[in-house]
Amino acid sequence: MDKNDLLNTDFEITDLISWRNIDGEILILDTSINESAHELNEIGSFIFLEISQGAKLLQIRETLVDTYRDQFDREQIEKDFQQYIEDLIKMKLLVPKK
Amino acid sequence: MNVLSKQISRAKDLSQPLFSTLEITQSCNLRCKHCYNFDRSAGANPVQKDLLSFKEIKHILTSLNNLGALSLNITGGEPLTHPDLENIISEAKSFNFHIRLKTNGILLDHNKAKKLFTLGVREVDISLYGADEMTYQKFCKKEGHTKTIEAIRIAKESDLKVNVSIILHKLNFRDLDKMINQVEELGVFYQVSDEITDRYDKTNASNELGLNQSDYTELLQGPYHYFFNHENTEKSLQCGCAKTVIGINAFGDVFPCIGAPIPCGNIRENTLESIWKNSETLINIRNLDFKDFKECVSCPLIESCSRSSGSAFVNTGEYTGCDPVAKVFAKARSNLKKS
Repeated sequence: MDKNDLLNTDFEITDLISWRNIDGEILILDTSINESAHELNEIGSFIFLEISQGAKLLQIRETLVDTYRDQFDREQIEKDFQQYIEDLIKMKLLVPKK
Repeated sequence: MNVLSKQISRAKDLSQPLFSTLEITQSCNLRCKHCYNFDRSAGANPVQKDLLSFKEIKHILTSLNNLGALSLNITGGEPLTHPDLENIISEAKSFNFHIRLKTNGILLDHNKAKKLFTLGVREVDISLYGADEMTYQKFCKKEGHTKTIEAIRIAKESDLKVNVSIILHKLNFRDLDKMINQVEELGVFYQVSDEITDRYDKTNASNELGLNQSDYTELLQGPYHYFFNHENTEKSLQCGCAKTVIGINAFGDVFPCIGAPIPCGNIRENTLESIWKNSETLINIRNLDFKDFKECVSCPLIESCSRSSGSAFVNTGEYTGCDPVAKVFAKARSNLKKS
């Protein structure tokens, strides 16, 4: 999937996993797909929670650009964001919205 | 430290009850001798009007979500006998809990297993009480072995993650190899449980079929000794009770763990959030220190002991005291180590 297609697709968190926020970090129990537990750092947790609440990927990316523009350039943030989303899809934690 | 251990440790510092157990009924289709709920030999199930209603269960689930619970163990009695089980699971799934059902499996068929998975159950913990029908008949007062083995197969085929608890007692400990073979043939995860406690109704005939030191020594010398060779070289005495673990029984009583039935409040008198935050009993348990386990600190068997505070409480009334059953097993381990 190319970059634009990916960002314009509506995704949701798969219902095969469960997760909780533990003081800013998400813990995911994934017994059905990858048979493991995952933890997300602060930024990963932010993205994950935004998606779980129905936010669009483009909208989340722009929020990240606004938040971190003093620390990283736009290109780097976009690249990292794209990679992160691709990783979630690869792990089947993120699926196209039904 | 792996991901789960690290995050459990963080949750422990925050007293976030990641692991919750909700007893939805005390009704059961078996009459097991060792049942910790109450003495089932008379055959009667508890008065239904005292049990949690579906509305109350919904409140509890909302509260558990507010408190940050991740995993929800649904237990009983036998949860598959509950008429609202499917509604309870649907409600729990709406909060995105990792739902695990603790069952004897006998009432599980293909349709039910598939339905459970579709509704949101991800794991089933199925108890195995013997290697044949004769043992079931003696221990559970009913046949059930064939159906249990079938239930394990069905659950696996329905994409449920299956964990079999092999419950060891006097009538089956010499059949451990047979039970392990039966479970391994099905390719599911299993564990062996050697712990039988007194009952929560204060009767103790449940222990009559518990293992004694000689039985335990036999197991320690047998081919599956690794299930019983518990070592506690770190002298660890504390668990997740009241920190990452919470239990609620079928009457709304809140416990530090379903295995430690110390009343800390009732959801009919107070909110679960308030009980979890303000109960003196829960706070005291959270603040316990190694030195508070006085008998254990000076016990020469501590490094061989697999004591659990919940069992110590059920068997003696002392949460921080010595569990006589665990001590018997610790003696067996220690004696063998010396010899």
